[in-house]
Amino acid sequence: MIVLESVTRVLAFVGKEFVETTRRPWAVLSLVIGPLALLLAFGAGYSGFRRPLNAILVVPPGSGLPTDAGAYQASSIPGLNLMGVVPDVGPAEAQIHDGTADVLVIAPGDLQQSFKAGQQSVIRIEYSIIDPIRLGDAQLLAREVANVANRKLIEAAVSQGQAAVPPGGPGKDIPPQILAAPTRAETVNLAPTDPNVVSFFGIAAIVLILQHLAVTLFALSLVRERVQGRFEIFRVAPVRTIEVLLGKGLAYFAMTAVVSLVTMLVFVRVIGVPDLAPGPTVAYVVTLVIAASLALGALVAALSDGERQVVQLSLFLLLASVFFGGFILSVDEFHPAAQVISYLLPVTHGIQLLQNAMLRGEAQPGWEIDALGMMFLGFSLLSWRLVRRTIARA
Amino acid sequence: MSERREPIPTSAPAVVSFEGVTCRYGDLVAVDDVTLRLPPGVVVGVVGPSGSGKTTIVRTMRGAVSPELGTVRVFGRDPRYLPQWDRRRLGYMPQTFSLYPDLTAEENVDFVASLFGLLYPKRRRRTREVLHAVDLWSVRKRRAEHLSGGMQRRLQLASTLVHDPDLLLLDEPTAGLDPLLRARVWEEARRLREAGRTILVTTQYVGEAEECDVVALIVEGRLAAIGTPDELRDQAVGGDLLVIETSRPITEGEWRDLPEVDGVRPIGPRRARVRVTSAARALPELVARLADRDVRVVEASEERPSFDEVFAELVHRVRGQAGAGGPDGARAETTAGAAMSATVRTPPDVLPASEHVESETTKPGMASSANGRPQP
Repeated sequence: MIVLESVTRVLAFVGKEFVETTRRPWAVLSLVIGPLALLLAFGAGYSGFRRPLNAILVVPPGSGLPTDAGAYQASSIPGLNLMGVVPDVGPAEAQIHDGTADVLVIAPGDLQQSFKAGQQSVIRIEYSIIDPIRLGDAQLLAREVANVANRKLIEAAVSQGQAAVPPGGPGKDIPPQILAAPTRAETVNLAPTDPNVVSFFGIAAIVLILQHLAVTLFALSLVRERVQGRFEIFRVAPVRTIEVLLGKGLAYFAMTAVVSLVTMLVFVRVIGVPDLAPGPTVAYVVTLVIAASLALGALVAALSDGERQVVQLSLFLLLASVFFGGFILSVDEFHPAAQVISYLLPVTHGIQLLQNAMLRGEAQPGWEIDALGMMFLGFSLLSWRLVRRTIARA
Repeated sequence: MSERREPIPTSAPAVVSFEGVTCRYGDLVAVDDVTLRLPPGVVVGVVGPSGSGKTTIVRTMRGAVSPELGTVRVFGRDPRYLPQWDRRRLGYMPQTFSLYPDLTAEENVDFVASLFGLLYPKRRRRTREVLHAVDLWSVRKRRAEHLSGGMQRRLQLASTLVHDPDLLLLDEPTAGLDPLLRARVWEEARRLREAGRTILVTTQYVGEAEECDVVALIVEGRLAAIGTPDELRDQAVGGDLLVIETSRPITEGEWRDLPEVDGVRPIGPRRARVRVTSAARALPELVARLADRDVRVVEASEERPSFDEVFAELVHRVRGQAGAGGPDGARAETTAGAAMSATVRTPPDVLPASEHVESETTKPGMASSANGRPQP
C-alpha cells in the first residue's frame, strides 16, 4: 500500500508536468522546434568557405624580382589572394590599415646579393588582424611564402649549377624542383569518417542543447513550485522530497528524450551526419547526459531564489559549457585547474562520447560514462538535501 | 455558528498543544510565550493585527518553524517530524493561491489528493464530493487561471479538504472574498466542525471571530486574550451594556449612586450607556430605583458591542499596558480555559474606548443603528 501510494504521488507529478507543458503550446513549440531549427540553420547555412587573405606584394626596386603580378600566379598559395605588386611599403601599409588588404608581403631588396654572400634575407609579412583564427592563417601563410621563396631560389641556384655540370655528371639529370624539395607530405586520415564541421560541431550542439533544455526546464519548474508557495503544501502532505524530484525528473526526462530523438533523426537522416555508433550506444549516452543535466537543473533550482536567478544561472552554465565544454576549444588547451570546470559539466563528457560514438563508431564508452553517472548521483544527492531542507522550512 | 455555544470538550486529548512557545526571526520576536490547546471538534479563530504573529503560529503548527522556547505538539507529536500517517490527518490552506493555473479545477484537486496518497477510485469520489461542497463542480473543467478570485479560494479550500483531514489549518481563508463567499466558507467550516474536525482559522476580518467557538487574540506576538466570543466581549466591556433613555437628564454622579452600575457614559441629554455586571438582574432593579427618584425609563435595551469594537478595545488595552511596562495580568482560565489559557486582565472602570466607533460589520439578521444600538 505504501509503495502504491508512493507511485501515485510520483505519477501525479509526472502527469501534472505533462499537462502543464502541453497547455503551453508556445513553450512546446520552442522546446521542439527551436533546437531543430537551430540545427537545420547550422547544417544548411555553414559552407566551410573561408575568405582568402588579400595580399599585396611589395617588391622594392633593385631587388631583381619581377614586378608583374602575373609572374607570381604560378606560385599561388592557397588561401592567399594576390591583389597586386607595388614598389613602396607606405601606400601598401595604408591599405592594410584601411582594411582593403589583409596581408603585406615585403620582399627583401637585397635577395640575390645576400644569397650569394651566404646570408639569409628576411621576407617581412605585415598584417593588422585581431581575429585569432585569421591570425593563425596569416602566420601559416607567412611560413608558406618563405618556403615558396626559398624553393624558387634553390631551384634557380640548382639550375645555374646544373648548367656548369658536364653531361652525365652528378645530379645533372635530377630536376631542380626535386633537388630544391626532395620530399613532400601526403596525409591519410584513418578516421572512419571525413572531418566535417557540420558533423563535428553539430553533435556538440545537440549535446549542448540537451543540457540547456534539461537544466532550464527542470530548474524553472522546481523553483516555480517554491516561489508560488507549493512547497508549503508539500511540507504538510505526506510527500517525500525524493518523490517530488523523481516525478518531475521523469516527466522532463521523457520530454527531453523526445526532443533529442527527433533532433538526432533530423540530424542523421536530413542533414546526413554519419552515425557509426553501434547498437544503443547513442541512446545510452544521451540518457546519461539528460539525467546528469536534470540533476544539475535541480541543483540550480535549489540554489536560486527565483525564476530570474534560474535564468541567469542557466545562461551562465550555457556560457561555461560553450567555453569549457569542448564545444569550441579543446579541453586539453586549458590549464589543469580550469579543466576541473570542464569535467564538472555534463556537456563535456557528452560531446566527447557522442563524437567518438557517431563519428568513430566506438563501441566501448570510456571513463566519461562513469563521470556522467557520478555527476548524476552527486548532483542528485546535493539537490535532494537542499530541496528537502527548503521544503522543511516552507 | 455563533448559535452553538456548547461547552468546549476539555477532557479529550488536545489535537494541538502550544506550551510557552516563543519564536524569533533574528531579533524579531514573532511569537512570545504563547500557550494554548486545541481540543477536537472546535473552531478556533486566531485574530490579530497584521504582523501580529498569526501566520507564524500556523507555520509552527505545521512544523515549518522551530520554536526557540516551549513545546508544540500536533496529534501528540513534534510537528517538525510528523510521520506520514499523521501528515495525512493534517490539512493546510495557505494565504495565497498556490495551485496550478494551467490545470483545471478538477485536475488541481486530483493532484493534491494524489499527494496525500489517495488511490484512483477514492480520489475520484473525493474530488467530486469536495468540488460539489464548494460549489465548483460546474466549473471543474475550467482552468484555475480562468476562475475568479473567490472561486480560486474555494478551489484551494477544496484541495485542502480532499483527503478529509482531522485538523485543518486555514490561513486567512476568507481574505479577498465578498461577504457572501465568506459566509459560504464559514458554512463549510461549521459542517466540518459538526463532523468532528478541529479547525484553526486565522482571519483579518475581526467580525468573523463571532463564527468561532474560541477566539485567540494575538497582539505583537503575545496571546492577549482567549475565550469564547462572549467571554472576550465580557473582557472588553467588563460586563453587560445597557442603553437607557430616561424621562429627565441624570447626572453621571446620580447614575453611579445606583446599585448594579459599574460604569456610565452619557450619550445624549437623556440617554446613557451603563455598564452592569448582569443586564438581566440589573435592569429591573435600575427601573425600580429610578422610579423611586421620579425618573421614568422611556426606553432600555441591552447593547451587544460588535466584535470590531471588542477587538479594538482589547488591542488598545494590551498596547496601553505594554506601554506602561507590560501586561500584569495573571494567567487565568476562561470557560474554554480548561483547554486554553491566556493572560486575562481585569477590565478598567471605564467603557470601551472604541464605544463610539461605528462598526461596519453586522451580524446576519441584525443591523447597527447610527447610535450603535442593535436593531432587529
